Amino acid sequence: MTAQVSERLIYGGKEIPLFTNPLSLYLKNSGTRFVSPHTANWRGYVGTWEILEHAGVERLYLVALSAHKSYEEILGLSDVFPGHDKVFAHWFTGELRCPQGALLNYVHGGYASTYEYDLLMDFKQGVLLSNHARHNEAPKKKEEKDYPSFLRRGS
Amino acid sequence: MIESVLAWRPVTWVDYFLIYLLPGAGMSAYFLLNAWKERPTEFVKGMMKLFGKETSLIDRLKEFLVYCFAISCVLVGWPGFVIYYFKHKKDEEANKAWQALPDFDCAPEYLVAQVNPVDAEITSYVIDPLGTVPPLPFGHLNQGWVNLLADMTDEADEMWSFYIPKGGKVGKYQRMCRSDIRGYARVRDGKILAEFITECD
Repeated sequence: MTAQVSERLIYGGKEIPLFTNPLSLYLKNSGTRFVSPHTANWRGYVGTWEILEHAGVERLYLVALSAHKSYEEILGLSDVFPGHDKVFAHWFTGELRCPQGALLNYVHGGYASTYEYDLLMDFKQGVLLSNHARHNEAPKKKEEKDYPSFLRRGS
Repeated sequence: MIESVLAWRPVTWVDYFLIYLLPGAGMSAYFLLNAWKERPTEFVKGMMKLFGKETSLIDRLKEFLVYCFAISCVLVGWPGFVIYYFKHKKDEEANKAWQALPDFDCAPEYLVAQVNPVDAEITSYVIDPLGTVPPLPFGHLNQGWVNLLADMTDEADEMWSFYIPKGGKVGKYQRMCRSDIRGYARVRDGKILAEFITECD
C-alpha cells in the first residue's frame, strides 16, 4: 500500500491536512463508489472540510469535493450532493486527526506516518465537543535484536 | 496373460498388502508426473548456474532421498492422504461460504431494543442552522434508511436499534472500532440480516 493523500480541513482560517475520512459512512449508505486515480488515493476522492460556528456550536461541514467518477471525469460537491454548496456531516461521531509539525517517521501506507503533533477533535453527530493536541515522538528504531531470530540478517 | 491376471486371487498376506499398495502407487505416479511436468526448464537451470546456485550431486542425492521417503509415505499412508484431501475440500467450501456472508458491524450482543420504524423516523430529523441537510429522515443518509425499510418484507422481520461502544469488536474479522457506532438492524429469529449505520467515524 502507498501513503494516502489526506483530506483537508479549514480550521482557524488555515487549510491543514486531515488524516480521517468522515465521508466514508455517507458513501457506504448511498452505495456511491469512486475510481482510484492512483495508488496514493485508493478512495478516489479528496474532500475539503470546514468547522463552522453558529450560536456557539461548531459543526463539521464538507465544503468542497474532488471525486473521480472515472480516471478523467472529476465530480464536485454539487454533483454528489445536488443543490448543496456545503454539507453538514451529521453522521460523523468520532475523532478527527490533523497531523502538524515535522514528519518524524514516514510509513508507506495509509495515514500511518507520524508527525510532531496531532490535533485531535472529538465530534458527536457532526458537532465539535472538544479538541486537544497530542505530542508524538519518533518511534524507536528497531535493532537487529528486536526482531525474532528467524527474521534477523545473517552475520 | 490378461486371463491369468483376471483369474488371480489374493491368498497370502503379501498379496493383500500388494493390493493395499495399489491406490498409493497410483497416487505416487500422479505426484511424480506433476513433479516432472514442473521441473525447471533449461533457461532456469542456466540462470541458476549463472548465479552460482547449480544443483550439486549432493543436492540431487538429497532430493532423491526425499522423493523416496515421500513415495513410501504415500504408498503406505494413502488412506490418510485421501481423508486429508476430503477434509481440506470440506474446509475450503466452509471457508468460501463464510467469505460470502455479509460483513456487518452489528452483532446480536450490540442490539439495544426493538423499535417501531415510525418512531425511529420521528426522532431522526437533523437540525442544521445553515440548512444544508434535506428535511428527510436521517438527512443525507436517507438512502440507507430507505433501503433498510424496503427490505423489511417478511412479517418475522424486526427492527432493532444497536449501539457499539468505542473499542468494541466488529465485523467478521473482529476489528476494533475507533468510535461509538449507532444504527438500526433488520433482525429475524435473532439473526442480523441488514444494518443501517447512522453515526460512526
